[in-house]
Amino acid sequence: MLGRLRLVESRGGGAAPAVVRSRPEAVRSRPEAVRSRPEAVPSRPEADRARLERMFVAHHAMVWRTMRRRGLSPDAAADVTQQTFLVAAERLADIAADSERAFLVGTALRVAQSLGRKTVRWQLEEDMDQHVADGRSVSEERAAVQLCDMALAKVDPDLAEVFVMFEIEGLSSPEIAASLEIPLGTVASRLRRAREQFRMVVGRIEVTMRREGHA
Amino acid sequence: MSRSDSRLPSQLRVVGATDLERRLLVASARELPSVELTKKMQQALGLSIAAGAATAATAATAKAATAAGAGSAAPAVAWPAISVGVLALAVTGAVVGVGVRSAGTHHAAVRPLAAAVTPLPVAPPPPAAPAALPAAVEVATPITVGAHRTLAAPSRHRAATPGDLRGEIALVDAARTALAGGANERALALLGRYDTTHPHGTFRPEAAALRIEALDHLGRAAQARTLAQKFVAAHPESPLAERVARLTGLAGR
Repeated sequence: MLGRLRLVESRGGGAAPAVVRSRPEAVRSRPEAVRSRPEAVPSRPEADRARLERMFVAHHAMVWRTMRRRGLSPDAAADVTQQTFLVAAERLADIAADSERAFLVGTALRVAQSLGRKTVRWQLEEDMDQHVADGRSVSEERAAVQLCDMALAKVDPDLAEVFVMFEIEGLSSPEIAASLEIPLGTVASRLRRAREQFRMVVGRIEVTMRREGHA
Repeated sequence: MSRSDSRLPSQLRVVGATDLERRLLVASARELPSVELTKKMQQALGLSIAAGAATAATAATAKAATAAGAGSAAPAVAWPAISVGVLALAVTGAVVGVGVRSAGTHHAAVRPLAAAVTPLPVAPPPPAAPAALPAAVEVATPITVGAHRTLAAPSRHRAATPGDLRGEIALVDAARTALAGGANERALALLGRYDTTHPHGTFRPEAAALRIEALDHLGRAAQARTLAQKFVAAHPESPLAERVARLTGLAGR
């Protein structure tokens, strides 16, 4: 049996902090800067501004989704995303053109950690009737996303990070290695293990569906 | 083979995923922040991006995800729509109905997802009012399963009890873990036990694929290859067939 699902709040999403090139103190020292002071982004040369805009257009959804897959609410994921781009704005000169995605994802993971905010993760527990009831109005697409998040919540967080980056966001092995500061071989092994765990969970769901369908 | 190679394989949703896995991954890759959230982020950053530019770009990403997931890889089986009923099933493991979108063609289960792509971001779901669980059960229609599945051939299908399945999953899970940890002999032992205790098990194809992989890891290439040939012959449509064929170096399929 799969048990039931319950929303469980846990601090920090349970993942090990990803060490990225961003200076952690820069993140921690201004966690509220974005919301309280939108003008916190200093005026900068037009080229930088254009680059940041281009980066935002190209990658903000990826950053936001990566946070969503960690179990953050849409709003919380947006908060982390905007703070990530704030860090990027300050460090544009350090970001190589071909490492923007790695920088952004790594920074977002770091920001999520440094905020220490309560994140919400799905966990299979005893009484999750509420969620099922809430799900009545969701579309098929959203139901699929929720089901995916439920499955991801059953995967070890360190492994799930790699899985999400590769399987959902399409980051390359070097990008993942750079963003998490782990060796390429570790990326590969984590992905393999993540797949096994993810597929086992989804396999259980499939089996249950099939069994009930034939019952 | 290149197990210790750091290069990553193809994305699961491109090669080797079951239909359900593919649908979950593709849907997740298409999720977008709402227009309001995107605007809020832009304002906070002091960006003045032309209206629609950000969302258009993300929609393009979403379309790419759709192409990857629902493009050339034809689904072998039409799955029911992932509905509340399926969520309830997954969540509770209880006997609930599943809202089935009757699928006339093999592609029918995937197309609605592809059609769902719009330039507009998907708004986050509003918190719904609490309702009683039984109300979540929709149409109680049996799920139709196609001619072949990754995990089980229908000819073997029987009404496995939850206890059976738990035992099966535990064994296959343990074998997988052993394999992932390099304990190939142990994986083989566990798979042997699986065969003995579940001669008509639901996960036999998966167990067979794991055995092939373990044998290959142990350098028993000839044995792995022979089993892979049998596997491909027995399950030509299974995504696992491609995997074991590739693993053991069988030309083509």
